[in-house]
Amino acid sequence: MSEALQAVLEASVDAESLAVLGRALVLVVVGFGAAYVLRGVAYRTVARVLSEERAVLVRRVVFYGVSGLALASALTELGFDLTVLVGAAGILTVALGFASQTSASNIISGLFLIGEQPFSVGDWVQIGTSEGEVLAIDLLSVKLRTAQNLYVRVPNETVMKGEIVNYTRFPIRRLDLLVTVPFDADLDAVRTWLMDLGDAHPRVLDEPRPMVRFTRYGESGVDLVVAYWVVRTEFLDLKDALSVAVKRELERHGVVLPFPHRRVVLVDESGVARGLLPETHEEGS
Amino acid sequence: MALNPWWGEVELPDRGYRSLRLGPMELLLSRASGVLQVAWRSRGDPLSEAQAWSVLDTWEAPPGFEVRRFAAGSGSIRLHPRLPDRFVVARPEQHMVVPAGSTLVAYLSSPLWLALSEGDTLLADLPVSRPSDTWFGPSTMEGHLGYALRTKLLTSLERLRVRSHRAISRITIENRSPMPLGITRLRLPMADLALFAGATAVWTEELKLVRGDDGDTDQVDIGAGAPAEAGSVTALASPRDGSRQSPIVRVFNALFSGLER
Repeated sequence: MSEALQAVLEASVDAESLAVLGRALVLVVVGFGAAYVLRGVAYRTVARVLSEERAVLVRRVVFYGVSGLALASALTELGFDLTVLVGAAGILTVALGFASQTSASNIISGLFLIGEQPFSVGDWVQIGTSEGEVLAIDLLSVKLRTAQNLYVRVPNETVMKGEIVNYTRFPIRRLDLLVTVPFDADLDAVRTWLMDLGDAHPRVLDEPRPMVRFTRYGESGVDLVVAYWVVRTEFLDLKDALSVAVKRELERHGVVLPFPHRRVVLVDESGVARGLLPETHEEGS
Repeated sequence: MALNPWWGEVELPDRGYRSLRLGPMELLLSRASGVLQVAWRSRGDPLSEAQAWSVLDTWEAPPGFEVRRFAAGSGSIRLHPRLPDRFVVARPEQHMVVPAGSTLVAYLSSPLWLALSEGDTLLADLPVSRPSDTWFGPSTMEGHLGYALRTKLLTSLERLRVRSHRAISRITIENRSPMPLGITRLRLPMADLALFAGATAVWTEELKLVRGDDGDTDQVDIGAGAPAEAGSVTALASPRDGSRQSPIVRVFNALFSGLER
């Protein structure tokens, strides 16, 4: 009798355990399925009003949040006491915090980066010494593709600490060309020629106006900055073309860009000048 | 002087080489062995009066020309004028002030684009003289790219130099605000305007720019057709911007973009 009762009890326990296990499995499967579906819905909804990076962040939060809830429900179903886990989580957090300071710092920096949005995917940026097109802004790092087609990973912490230059934020850019003209050049005439050059070039913006500004009296001549405003996407092409055009325009008016030169005076022991070496290149003097 | 049209159908048989000189533009059209070659360049005085067709004896385009080639279909190509593909920015000849509650009429000459089509296919859309780019907006961070016109806004139609490769616009500026309105630059939505051929000149649709009575809002109103000065006209081209659906849409699309403050 007792053996039969024991057998029945064992069988019912096994059946109940199986049922519990089944419910937990269902919770996990349904939960993860729901998380998968909800992350897509959240992404599509958020992407309409927010940037790509923020939408991706929301997608991840939704997925991991719903998955975590499903996992916690399954564990509760299996009889685990999650309050113990919550207590342990505090200790675990401290331990993990020490162990993964860098990663945590990167993640927090990544969240700030996504919130602040100094750049977006596709922008051309300079971060510290790295310059390139932003391929991805992830929680741990920013990925760049440089002009040399190199893949550069910059940790988010570095991005947040360093200086960021975003070359594609604004639609137009000022192109500054540094030009040195001889001391005896007529600066008013030079200014007029270079302004006219900008006005005549169809790709140089008429407004904001071109500008020619005195910078300083240099070693070999007067240093000027010639500033032309151009559309950002044409910056590199025009930098090349206008540098050549400025040189040609000055040469057309008989102004030759000066090279560094020195005049050497020979003086004897009594301080009397005894001769003059011909002017020569800096390398030769 | 009567208008001398350069637009219309051009017959170009196999081994036919033709050249059009239109103001500052030189256009070469050649057809041989089933290939249509279009070559062009634009240089010199944008207000040049030159306009002549000639026959060439070679397929080769001289150096300095931009060249495009197409698979040739029929032996007929259509040349037609179009207005600039972006807005233009014009300055008055001298500082212009519209007193409070007053209206001023100004005229402007803009360069045309020369479009080439074969059947319904647009082959090329070329500026007869390309204006410089310019920026129009409240700052260098915000605004739009347009064309800067070298020609000035004039208050007298007689002083405009009429050319068949340029279009004249009549612009009415109405200042309903209680303050005088000083005008240094005007942004004009050329891509929204239709084009007409008058007896002596090519005309755009009439434009009316209104400074609102609050002194802060501007409204651009596009008139339905060429101005009275154009006389009897024939339609040459519809607006480039196909989104024009009704005058109301037009007006409100252009709101706040008319006058510089």
